Amino acid sequence: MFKQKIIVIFTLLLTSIGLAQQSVTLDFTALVGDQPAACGVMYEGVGAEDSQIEFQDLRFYVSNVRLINAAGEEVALELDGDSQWQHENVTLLDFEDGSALCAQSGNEAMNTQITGTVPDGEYTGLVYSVGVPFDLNHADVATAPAPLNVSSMWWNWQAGYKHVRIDIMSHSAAMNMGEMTMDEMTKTEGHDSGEDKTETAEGHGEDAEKAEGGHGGHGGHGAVSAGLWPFHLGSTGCVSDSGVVAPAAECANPNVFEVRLESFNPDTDIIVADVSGMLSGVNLSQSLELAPPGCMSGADDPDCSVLFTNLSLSGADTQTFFRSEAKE
Amino acid sequence: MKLPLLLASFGIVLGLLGASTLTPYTWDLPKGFPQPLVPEDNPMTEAKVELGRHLFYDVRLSGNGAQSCASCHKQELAFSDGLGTSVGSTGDIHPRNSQSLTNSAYNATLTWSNPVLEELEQQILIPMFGEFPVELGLTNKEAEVYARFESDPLYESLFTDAYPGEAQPVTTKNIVNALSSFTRTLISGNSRYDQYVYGAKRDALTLSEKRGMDLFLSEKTECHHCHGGFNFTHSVKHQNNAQFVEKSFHNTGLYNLDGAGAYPLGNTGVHEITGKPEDMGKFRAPSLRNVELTAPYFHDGSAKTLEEVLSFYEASGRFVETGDRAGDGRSNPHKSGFVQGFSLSDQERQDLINFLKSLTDESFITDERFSNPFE
Repeated sequence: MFKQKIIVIFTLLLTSIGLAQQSVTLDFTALVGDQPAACGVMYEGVGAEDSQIEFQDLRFYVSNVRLINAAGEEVALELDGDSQWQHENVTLLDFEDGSALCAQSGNEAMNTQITGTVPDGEYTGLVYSVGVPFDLNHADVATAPAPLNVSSMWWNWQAGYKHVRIDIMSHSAAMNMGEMTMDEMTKTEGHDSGEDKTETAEGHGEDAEKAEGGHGGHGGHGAVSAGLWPFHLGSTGCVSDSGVVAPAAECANPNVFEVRLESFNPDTDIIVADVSGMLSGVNLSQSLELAPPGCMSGADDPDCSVLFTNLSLSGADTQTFFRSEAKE
Repeated sequence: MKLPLLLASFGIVLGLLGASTLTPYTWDLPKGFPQPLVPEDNPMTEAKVELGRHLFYDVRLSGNGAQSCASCHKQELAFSDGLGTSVGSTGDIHPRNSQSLTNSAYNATLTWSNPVLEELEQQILIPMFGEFPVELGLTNKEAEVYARFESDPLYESLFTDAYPGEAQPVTTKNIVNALSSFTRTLISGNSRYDQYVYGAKRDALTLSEKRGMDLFLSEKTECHHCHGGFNFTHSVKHQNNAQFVEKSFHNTGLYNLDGAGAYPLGNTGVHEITGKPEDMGKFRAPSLRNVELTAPYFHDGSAKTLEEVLSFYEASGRFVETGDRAGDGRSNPHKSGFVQGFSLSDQERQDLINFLKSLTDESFITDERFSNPFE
């Protein structure tokens, strides 16, 4: 709050003494390697097991955007007023259009830009946080202003928002080959027709056994559905009376990470969110053996460990999700 | 020249008078609830709500006078009917379970599985005029049915109050608009859960219910992925999320007749509307408010109790060994990835069910404003 006030006062001072502001548009693109990331497309060779993946969701919040000037100082980008996509210092970037598998939790609206103003000047770099800051993170999604009003981007008062939601349907060739019949293998290899897209994860031996265990064991493949590998990044270790009560103090693991692009020109460069970079070294075939599926930000979820390193959440600046590229 | 002008201004004055008698409906929303969206061409008024309430409970609004809306939407059952699948006025058996009308003002889409049915004004035409199956059975009986209301002094004043200045206010459109207006008022947000969350009454829930709530919100059960938010479903629209409405439909693995994911004919969900193979077995996640009162469960009423529903999700789908519904729903290829099964202790199962029962809103099912005006 205090910091915000200072920024506001500073901005007022600047404008009152007549320093001009310049508009800035930050363009984002989501890629898988060098292909645009979109719903309804199958991508090859992602993660540690070279999985075939398809998106079911692809959205994240960016906050606290600063431009770096020639002196190396960080200058806050004042976001353009409240809109469908921006509120205070938070923007929702949304690369899913609600089609194909994304119909499960998505909608048509998309956003690939952050817009705002900074004082006139030379800027050579960019730094921003991925995630919703604490003071906005534990609001009620039903009454919070856009873009904090997206129900599928929210857990509850205690945990707050999903800073990042990237749900992936994974088709890993290495998955439980021993358990599959020839017929099933052929099925999982033929991904071209829409109908077969989600038809892979039959016969996960271990999981089926596990699920059968407590339920009196019916026959068949058992309990496993197709290989959904959801990644929901959010704060953990948030202390309050219960899930429906907002915490009074910052969570033990906010799981908001900073991205620093030392060389960046908003006019000529674009920010790339490369999902294959983010998933580099992540085993997308193993999650079904571990409950919950994918990475739901649990501090001790093995599915999260490599991923967290790739997002600089393990301490060092090691993120492999974002980079800048020259605009075409 | 002068006469038409005079008439026109007279008309304007009349119009203004008419407008001034139409008291806008005052929403008395529970704490934490956003404003419902209301279609611009059917603004909420007290008079329309009152007319709608009478029509809702009036058996004369069916072809043979046997049923009203309330026959399948009973207040004491949170406006559901307690049957596996409903029975229409002429005895037709509906393929679907009667849905609770709790908070339907907030539904992103209406009915169990129609992704393009977005307004109550469109939905209400189905029970009124549907022929397969017949529900209220009004098709080709409009004149006869509307005459019943035209000749009744009570309705003469109700219709005139709701639609002042109309010479013949008993029309399909006016009936539908009034029923929609009344249905939008059926808002439930005073359960013990609400008292705990929004009223900050920390003793409103028992320890078991609180444990159940944490399980409900956990990644172990994944309940909240489809039944999250203030209305316990992600399929919500309101004035605060109009830009981001989710129309989510899910296949939960109830059936798998042919190993390729087929659901029983006539009940294939969104697939029935879109014809897309991947929409097979997809149904809207209903609100869980008042769920204790709305048994049996699922689109076809095929689970009798909450215990049965929970076992179903624990097992990650339904395995039917024999009969015309035989098949392993657990391996339905169109099943939602969030239905992956989990294992609960007896205590946890009880906690979760206790929590679901804390969503029952006693004041909603006894609210005079929603009750039968003829009793």
